[in-house]
Amino acid sequence: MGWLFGKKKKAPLMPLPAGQAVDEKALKFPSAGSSKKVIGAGDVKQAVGFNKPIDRFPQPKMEEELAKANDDLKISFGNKSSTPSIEQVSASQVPAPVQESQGDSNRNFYEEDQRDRDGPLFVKVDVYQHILGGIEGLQKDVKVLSSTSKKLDNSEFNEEAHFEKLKKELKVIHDKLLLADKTLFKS
Amino acid sequence: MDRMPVFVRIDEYDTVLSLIRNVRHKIEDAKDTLVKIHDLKNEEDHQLEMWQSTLLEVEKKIDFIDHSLNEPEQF
Repeated sequence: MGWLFGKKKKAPLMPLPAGQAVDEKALKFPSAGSSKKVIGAGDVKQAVGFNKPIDRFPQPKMEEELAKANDDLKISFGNKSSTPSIEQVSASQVPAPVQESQGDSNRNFYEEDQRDRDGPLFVKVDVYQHILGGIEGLQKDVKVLSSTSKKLDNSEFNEEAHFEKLKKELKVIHDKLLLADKTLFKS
Repeated sequence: MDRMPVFVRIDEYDTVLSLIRNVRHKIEDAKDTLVKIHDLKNEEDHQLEMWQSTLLEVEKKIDFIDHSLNEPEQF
């Protein structure tokens, strides 16, 4: 036991890091909501900067998506003062989902949590931009799917026409065989 | 001011969520339909192969009858 608790290592005294000077004006919200700017639905893309080149809409796995959502999607519900509260959630505080089922339960938790409360919901602009990019990509995919569907329709029509032609030819063969049979065995 | 986070207010969030849920259901339905179409196509291919083999049999028999009629001394 003595070897375990015998000597304590003396850690060299480190100087404490100097804290940053706090600017009192840095985190002040405006007292009145006079500067609130309402952006119409038509101007959202422009206001968000959607015309800027966006990197490809990410397709993360469910675990990464949830972890990222926990980090980035800081959802805040407005209280009576109509000032959105921002929660700083670090990645270490969020339990990383290990299995897919756990991810689903996290998602359900999110949905139930959001459904329970009333009030406006705020999403960060970059997340919103990603969502807009995703919707744009979805629209392109839907266009590709509809053109593929048209091609399939045409192809099936041709297949049906070929099938009808084959049936007609088989009927002609059958009739001629019957005729030959009748001719051969008439006597 | 440059680093301040900017948020976008989303109204009718529940509507969007239910829409996405509906789209997910539709995607599942589409997947099921694709599986059914695939099975039908496999069945159709199988029937076409059977048709082709039967047609070959008919062709062979016609050839035999043709030979029998054209060269009766061989039989």
